[in-house]
Amino acid sequence: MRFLPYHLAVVLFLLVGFAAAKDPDVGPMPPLHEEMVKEVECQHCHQCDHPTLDDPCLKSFSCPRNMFSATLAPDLGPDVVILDQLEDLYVPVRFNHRAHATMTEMNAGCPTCHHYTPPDLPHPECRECHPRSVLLEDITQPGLRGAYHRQCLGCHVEWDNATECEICHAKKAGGALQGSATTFNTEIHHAPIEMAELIIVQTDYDDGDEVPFHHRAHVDVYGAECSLCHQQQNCASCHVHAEASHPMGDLAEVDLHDTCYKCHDEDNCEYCHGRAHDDMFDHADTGWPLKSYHASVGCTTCHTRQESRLSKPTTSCSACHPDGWAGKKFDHRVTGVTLDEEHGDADCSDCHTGGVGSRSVCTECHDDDRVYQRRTGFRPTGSFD
Amino acid sequence: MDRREFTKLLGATGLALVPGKAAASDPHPHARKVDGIGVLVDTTLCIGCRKCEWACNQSNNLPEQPLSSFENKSAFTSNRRPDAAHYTVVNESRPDGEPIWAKVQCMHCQDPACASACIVTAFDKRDDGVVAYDASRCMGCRYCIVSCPFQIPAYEYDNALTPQVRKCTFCLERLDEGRAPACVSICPVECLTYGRRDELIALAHRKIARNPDRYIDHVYGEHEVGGTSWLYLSSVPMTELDFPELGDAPVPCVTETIQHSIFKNFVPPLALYAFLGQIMWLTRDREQDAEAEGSDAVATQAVRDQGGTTL
Repeated sequence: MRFLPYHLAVVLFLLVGFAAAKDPDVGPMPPLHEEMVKEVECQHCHQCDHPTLDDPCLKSFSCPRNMFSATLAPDLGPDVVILDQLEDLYVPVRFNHRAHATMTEMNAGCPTCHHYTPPDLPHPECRECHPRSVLLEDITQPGLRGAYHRQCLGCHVEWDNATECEICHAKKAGGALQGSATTFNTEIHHAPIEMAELIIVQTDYDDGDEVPFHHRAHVDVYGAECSLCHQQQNCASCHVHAEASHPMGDLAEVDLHDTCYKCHDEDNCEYCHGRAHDDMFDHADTGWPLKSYHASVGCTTCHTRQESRLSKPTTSCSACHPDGWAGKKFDHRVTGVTLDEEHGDADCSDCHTGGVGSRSVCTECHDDDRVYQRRTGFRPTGSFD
Repeated sequence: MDRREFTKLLGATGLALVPGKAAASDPHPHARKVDGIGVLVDTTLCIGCRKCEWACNQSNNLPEQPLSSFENKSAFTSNRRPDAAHYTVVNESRPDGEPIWAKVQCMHCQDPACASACIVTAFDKRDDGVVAYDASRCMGCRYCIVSCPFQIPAYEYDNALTPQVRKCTFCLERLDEGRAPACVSICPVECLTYGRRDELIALAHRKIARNPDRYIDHVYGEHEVGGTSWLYLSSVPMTELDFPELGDAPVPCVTETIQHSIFKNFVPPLALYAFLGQIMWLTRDREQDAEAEGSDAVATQAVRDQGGTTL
């Protein structure tokens, strides 16, 4: 019996050592973690005791909300999803995934519903985080039924206060799923949103209280995506009980400066405030009038889009036309002028003195006042010997 | 005056009679130190489908059974109370125009007034937190009905022979099988969360901290009448959803303080009896004296009449 204290000491030592070894070594953590570790155990997400930035040893499915998310195009997902895992009193839900995916484009995209997608993995199925039956041991995680219903009803209640079960699934009478799962009209899209041509925003800025915003031009001409400005807008921010109300939602809740600064951060106040309503941006003001062919190419043919801004492109012709105009891509003969032996060696600017696309000037070489007109060809204006 | 107003009046009268000390927040000496199980109701999630009412009736063999009769939304036109045939009801309120639904049932108080009021201990706050009713002990006095701050217990007035008090049983049989109460199990949006009360309170406060715009910063039932096993989260004060506004002191803290003060060490009753006895004794002495004086005079006269002398 006198060995007992020694045994106890050894056991105690081992226990302490074991506990210390299990204590995860908290090294540098990604930014989100500071908040997250207050709420969840490390083991909630990580398989190993010592996750590192290089090897986070993430479990495939662990679910801190909105931790990771990715957005895809709506048509990359399935058209219809049959939700039949909890079939009981009601027939399975035929969920029109395509239509709903399209609706989320004005909101947060896929993460509106798929709020957890581990990096480089397809998003997990709902049931992989939300258990079929609620676990009494873990009351923090909604069960699968709660997760489904909250996800749907979160919007549907806002939409029209309709909470009848039959909106999504018919009550079982005979039993099985009625009709074919593919009879859905998967082409249901949001009706085209009426886009305002010009919105005049009233401000309290002294030196110009009106800010004209040419909405259509921003979309059609400058190629702004809806989500550039319309972020986190759900159905109810535009619709009150399924009726169209303010198409933009409540502007008072949007910081318009932050929105405009995304592109106009180098412009001064007067660029927007007090600007004449018809003072539209003219590409010619930049010294590069968009004429003939250049008017028909998209902005990003010349500009690269960096986040929401357009880069300043080089004005060198050869940057876009490395082969010049004699190459295969452009046949100068379509203009009526064959770049023959005499003209082929001339530089573009020898004739097009006014810039690219400008009318060619012959008098630089020919002193007989000849001009070239595209439709009629060469025409002498004076005496032509 | 309907029953509610009457009981309100009773309560108000009772409170007016209570000395200030009784309302102090001293832990009630008889408060049971149980934290047991509970249910957290998130009224911001409830969609008013009334499936909990249906499941409750099924589980407790209550008369109204078909699911279709619970799909009738016209039930929301009036504010309903649980009764002998419905242990739980869902009511709709529109404090700000938008509907908010809230389930009403026995709150399973931490320090239940019904158990305190019951003179035959038919109500019992079990260690697991359930306020259970034992019909075999009940004698039908219905003090429990008067005492309940939430006005929950109902009586089978139409049962002439074996009437019982009826209220939410917390689905004791299901709990014994390790299952959640029927209403919790059926709820499609899981706005009912069944678990340990302390964990539910922690969960409720986490939810409030995460969504400060969604909830008011108050968990109804955490402190009301000393705490209840059923807890409510809401976007507006629960009083706007027709729940009573209650203090933190348990109801028995008031009633039992009165009772126990009156009978403390049996001194007040003894003092009262002593006081009354003294009055009786004093009154009785005067009458006897008068009587005695009167009889002496008569005796003296008689002796004189006989020509004798007195001693």
